[in-house]
Amino acid sequence: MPKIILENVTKKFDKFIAVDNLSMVIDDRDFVILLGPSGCGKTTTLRMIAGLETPTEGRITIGDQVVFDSEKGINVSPGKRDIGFLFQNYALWPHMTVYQNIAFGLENLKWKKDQIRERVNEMLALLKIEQFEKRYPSELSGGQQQRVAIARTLAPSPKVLFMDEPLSNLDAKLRLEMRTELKRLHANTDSTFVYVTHDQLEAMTLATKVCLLDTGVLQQYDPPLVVYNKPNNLFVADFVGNPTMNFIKGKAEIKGNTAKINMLGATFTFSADGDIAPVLPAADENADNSGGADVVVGIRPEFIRVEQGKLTGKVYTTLPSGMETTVKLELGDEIITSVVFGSVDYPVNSDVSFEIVGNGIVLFDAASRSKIAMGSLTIE
Amino acid sequence: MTNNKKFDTRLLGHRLRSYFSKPANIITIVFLVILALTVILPLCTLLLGSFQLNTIQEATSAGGKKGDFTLRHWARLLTSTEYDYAINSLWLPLGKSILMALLACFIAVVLGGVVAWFITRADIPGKKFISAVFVFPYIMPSWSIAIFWENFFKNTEMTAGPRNAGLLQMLTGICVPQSWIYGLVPCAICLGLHYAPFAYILIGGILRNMDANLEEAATVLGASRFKILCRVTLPIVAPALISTILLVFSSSISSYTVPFFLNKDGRFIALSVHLKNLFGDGRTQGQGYVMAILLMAISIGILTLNNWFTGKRKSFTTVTGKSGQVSLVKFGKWRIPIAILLLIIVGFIAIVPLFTFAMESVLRTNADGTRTFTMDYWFSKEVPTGSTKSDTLGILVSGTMWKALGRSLGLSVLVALIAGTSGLLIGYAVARKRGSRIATFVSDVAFLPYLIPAMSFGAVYLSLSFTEGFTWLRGSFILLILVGGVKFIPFASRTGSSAMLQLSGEIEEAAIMLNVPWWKRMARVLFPIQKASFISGYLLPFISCMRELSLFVLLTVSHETLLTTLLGEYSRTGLTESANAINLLIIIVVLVIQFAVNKLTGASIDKGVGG
Amino acid sequence: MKRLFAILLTVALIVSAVFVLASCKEKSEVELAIEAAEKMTLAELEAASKKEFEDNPDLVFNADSLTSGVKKGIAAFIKKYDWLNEDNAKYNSKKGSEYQPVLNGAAETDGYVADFVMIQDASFVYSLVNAGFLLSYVPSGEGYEIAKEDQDPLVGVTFNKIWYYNGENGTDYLKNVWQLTGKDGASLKKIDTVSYQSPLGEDINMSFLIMLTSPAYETQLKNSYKSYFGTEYTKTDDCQSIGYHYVEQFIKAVTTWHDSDTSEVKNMNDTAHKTGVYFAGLAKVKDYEGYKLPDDDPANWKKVLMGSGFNYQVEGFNGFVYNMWTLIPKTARCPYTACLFIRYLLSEEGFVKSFENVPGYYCSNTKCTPTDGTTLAKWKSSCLSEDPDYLAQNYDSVTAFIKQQLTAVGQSK
Repeated sequence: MPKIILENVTKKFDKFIAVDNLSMVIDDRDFVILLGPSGCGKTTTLRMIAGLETPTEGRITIGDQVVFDSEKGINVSPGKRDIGFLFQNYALWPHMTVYQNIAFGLENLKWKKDQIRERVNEMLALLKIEQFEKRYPSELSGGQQQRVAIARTLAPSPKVLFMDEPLSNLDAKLRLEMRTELKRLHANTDSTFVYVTHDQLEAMTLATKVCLLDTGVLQQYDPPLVVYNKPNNLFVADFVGNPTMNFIKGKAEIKGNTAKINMLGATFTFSADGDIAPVLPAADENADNSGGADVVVGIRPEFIRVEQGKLTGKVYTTLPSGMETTVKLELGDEIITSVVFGSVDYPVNSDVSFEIVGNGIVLFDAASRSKIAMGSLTIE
Repeated sequence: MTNNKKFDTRLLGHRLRSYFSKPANIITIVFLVILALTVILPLCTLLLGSFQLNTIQEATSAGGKKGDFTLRHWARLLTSTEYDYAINSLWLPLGKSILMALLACFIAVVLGGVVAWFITRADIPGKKFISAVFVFPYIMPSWSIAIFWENFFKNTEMTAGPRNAGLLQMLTGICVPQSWIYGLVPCAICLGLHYAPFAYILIGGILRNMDANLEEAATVLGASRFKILCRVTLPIVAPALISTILLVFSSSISSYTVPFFLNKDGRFIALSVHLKNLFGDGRTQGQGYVMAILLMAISIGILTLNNWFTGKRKSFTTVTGKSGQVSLVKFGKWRIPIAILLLIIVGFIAIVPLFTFAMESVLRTNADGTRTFTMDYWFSKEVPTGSTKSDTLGILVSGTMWKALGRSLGLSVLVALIAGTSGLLIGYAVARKRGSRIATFVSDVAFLPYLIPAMSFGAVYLSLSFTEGFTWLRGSFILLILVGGVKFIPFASRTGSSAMLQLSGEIEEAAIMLNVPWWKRMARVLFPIQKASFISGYLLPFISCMRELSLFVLLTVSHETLLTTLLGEYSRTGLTESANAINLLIIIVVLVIQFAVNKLTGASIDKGVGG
Repeated sequence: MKRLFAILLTVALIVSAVFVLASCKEKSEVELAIEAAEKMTLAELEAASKKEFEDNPDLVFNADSLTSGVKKGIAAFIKKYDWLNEDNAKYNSKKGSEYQPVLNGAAETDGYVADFVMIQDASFVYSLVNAGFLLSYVPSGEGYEIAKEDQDPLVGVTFNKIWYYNGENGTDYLKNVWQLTGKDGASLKKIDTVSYQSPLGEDINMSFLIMLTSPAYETQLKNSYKSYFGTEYTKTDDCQSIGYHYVEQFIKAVTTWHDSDTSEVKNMNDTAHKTGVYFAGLAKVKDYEGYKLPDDDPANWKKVLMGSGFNYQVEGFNGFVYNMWTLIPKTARCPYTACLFIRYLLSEEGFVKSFENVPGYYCSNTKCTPTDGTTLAKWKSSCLSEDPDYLAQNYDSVTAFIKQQLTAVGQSK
């Protein structure tokens, strides 16, 4: 039912543009994650939808209701948007007990006392914090506070739930636990979740759709695996995935849906899944255009297979993490990262052969930084 | 056996050496000794004075000899029923003083709190200006607001005081009743106005640092603005509020100058004024000690209460989260009227006073009651006859005035250096030895001078200057510096502690690793980081010292020594026009210095007020 | 027998020797200097003073007083003697209530406070005189005649505080002190306002009220009572005497508790306040702006005095006469200069220079006759005066009583 529509939303703080002409649609029951580096405008976007921040321009609709329209002068107060908001630092009221914190929103809805009691009990049980009912926030651990904050937010059963980096104040183990619970919560509550984080792993694991922002501009808005596998541009490709994608500079001669690419001291043939988009001329006219257009080839570490193939690199470092090992190889000016399943170790500076496999290789235009094609590489 | 003993002493020696290898320990011990001599000893003198025959007159009247133990001071002041003496001398003034202080608190907190809320939470224009000017009354001497009050409201219908037209009557012809000019309520208002900026600084600080998410969380849950204010904002700023109330209360109840000045019709005597009368009379000096102890006990009680409140709810002040993104309350078409209203209030308490001082200093009251413009009180070289004590009528051409100004500035600078540096060092010791009992004790004792009424503090040091071995202090400038330095340490030590506590120990440890000597760590690392706060710790004693009178009045040999004693002399001899001119001069000097320091270093008094 | 006599004699000798020695020891340097100064001629005293400053060039002669007369006196004194100047002879203004602790402190510890003090408040002054801290130098010789009772301690100037009012009201405006009692209007005839400086802020006004309760003045209060009401005074209330009764009724009648005599007297000329009676120092006439006239011509003062109404014939009493004593602390550093200054201050020249012929300042040296036509003798006989013993003994109790009365009328300055 509640579908959130943002149309040309812009937010300026004095001269600084925090969000630039953002349009997107959040479908009912989506778990949308606003992702991006700090200062990219993701929190501002979230706060604008919630009504805590007033956009400079644009229109926001939640369900059938236009909650903000700069032209018509509509601005519905946050309390009337039927939303919940979970703050990064929980924002629990220190002078109220756990019970009072959770009950506060229900009081505002003019619920009866026994109804409130019942609902709070339900929430306490849902989040397994029954025993803390009479405590003050300062007497709880971080994880417990987090649960209280969630309970408080969920108590009025908001149709949309906004979360601003809710897990960033927790330690690594607790964060993992809470991730699981949040995902289950989403499944159980029938609500739409909009979630802000800078942690791409969190985005990958939780979201139904990821909205990646950079300096106020929308970069990609897709399901997480699409974002991972088919990044729109270099920024997205770089931001998502750990270890990060290998970016190898090369020269490409493009013919139809194949290209000859010179890189790593060898020549490769790139066979695209579809047409290769046209490459922008290099910004610098004096640039060396001989040998084709400047491109960047993006290869996920899992597409680099070691101890096979014709290419040889020198071991730069080996980073075993138990389940997998990251191997970094030096070849010419480039450092190439590979992920190997299981635990392996190579002496530093030893030579190791490798090859590029798979069909998830991304070709970027070096000048525009946009993706121009997806496909596979074969060495000649 | 002997071996063991040797071992023990060697161990002790080692321990001592290791203890004193830490600068924080040395500072703690040194200040423990200094404060014991300059604060605890005087306190003991006060206590002792309340139990003995102090003066020749007391001895004669009691039929004993000086120094004899007696309970008569306590008995007489607290319980004497002879013509209701105890009721009229202690209990009634005490009750009225408490009433006055409560009223002053109410005014300060409401006014300061409302302005703080508007400045931090509303989208009104002109905030920077309002905020900068609103602290004026706190920088100004408190009595200058009382003088302003009289200047503004005085009229020709009064039966006491100057009985000429003040600003209000000149402008509107309105004559307010005398009870609006003198007495309990005006005293409370003036003190309230004086401390309103203090409340503003404290409450505004909390509001500014308060996690805005706390309010937003309530907004999202559909609470109204009013409900948020009552249920969320107010309870969270409550500790600051209580802290403000208690500090304003204890400052008001021991304030001397305001109730003294606004008692020209004699309808209201504050406890502090009464204290001075008792002290000033050799026959009742012992009762003066008793009353000073009572005043201190009230203040200490209140501050203990304060510590209990803030200690218990320390978790209230959360300075985390994305507090920068406070969404301001939109007042739409009301934002301009509200801003104008605030400007009027701020203008009235901060700018109009300066204007009335200027005005009063250029208007001569003629024999027939009319007033004419003259610059004589600033520039005339005429030497007045009658009871005037100045060498020339115009203060700016008076050598006496310039010398007094020079001495006041010199004294204030030296006092600021002593108090500020001590505060900084005590702050360092407290921060480094967090939780150590001895450091906490030193810090507590350093705060005590704040609670000792200035007059009794002066009296104790006066008696010191008559004590064998210390007579060289008598009437000397060093005595003034000493008493000022000790009296104003509390401001500096509060500022120093809070600034040092904000610095993590690692910052200093990083320097220790590089083998940087202690003084260099202080001067090159710690001080520069918290420069603004530390300099505020110097600024506050400076400002307070510039405007202090009751503390020094017993200790100065001549009325010409300081600007404030000279001011007192002008007032006493009826030259109110020149007194107004000097008053304006003091305020301008203080303001100019405060702004200069602020511009140069970023320090300001609002950073310094820790409590 | 002879032996016994010899022993007795020896004992007596020893005892007396001890006494003499002891008394010699008790006499401080300053006391000895004063004794010597009293025997000196003016020239010798001048030489002794000069020697003090020659022996110790850093010496400063400090004169502490409430009255600015001393300031003017010092200014003239400096001009007269070339070894004195603005830097080594100073006047320090000292408010009574802020000065008592200082003097007490000095007295208790034999500390230095000043070389010359001129102070009021009889019981306080006497307590320090009795303690041997404040000493008197009595100038004598040609041009000096000081009454015996003014010599120990030495009175410098006598002042009075009197009832006065706007002269346009005529001389019979105030005839009897009982006119100033009873706010109900029964006895307060024609007088609209009574102005009195609060006794809590002004020690002289407190002394005046305390003296009113003294048995010494009972008769004259009773006589004036009878004259005013036509009946004998009979005790009708709780008051233990007619004096207490008067104080109680007077406090009720006061309409204005003023802050300073100086500024209050100025109001006498205001049309709005023409019908009041003021209790203030006669000397304050100089501040009475409405009658400010060139003060170099004594004849003008007579006009001033006639303009401001007061008379010597108020039934009961005309006011209060009190002294300001000119004394030398035991710890003075330049006693000869102090003696010289006292000698100068009480000389005809010095007195005129210091107190400018203003009426209301009466020099204890009767050779300095006031030029305005008022005389101290007249005031002394028609006013109440201070009795240091009565004041000291009854201070606690009577001030408690006065405070009670003041509280009853809401007055608590």
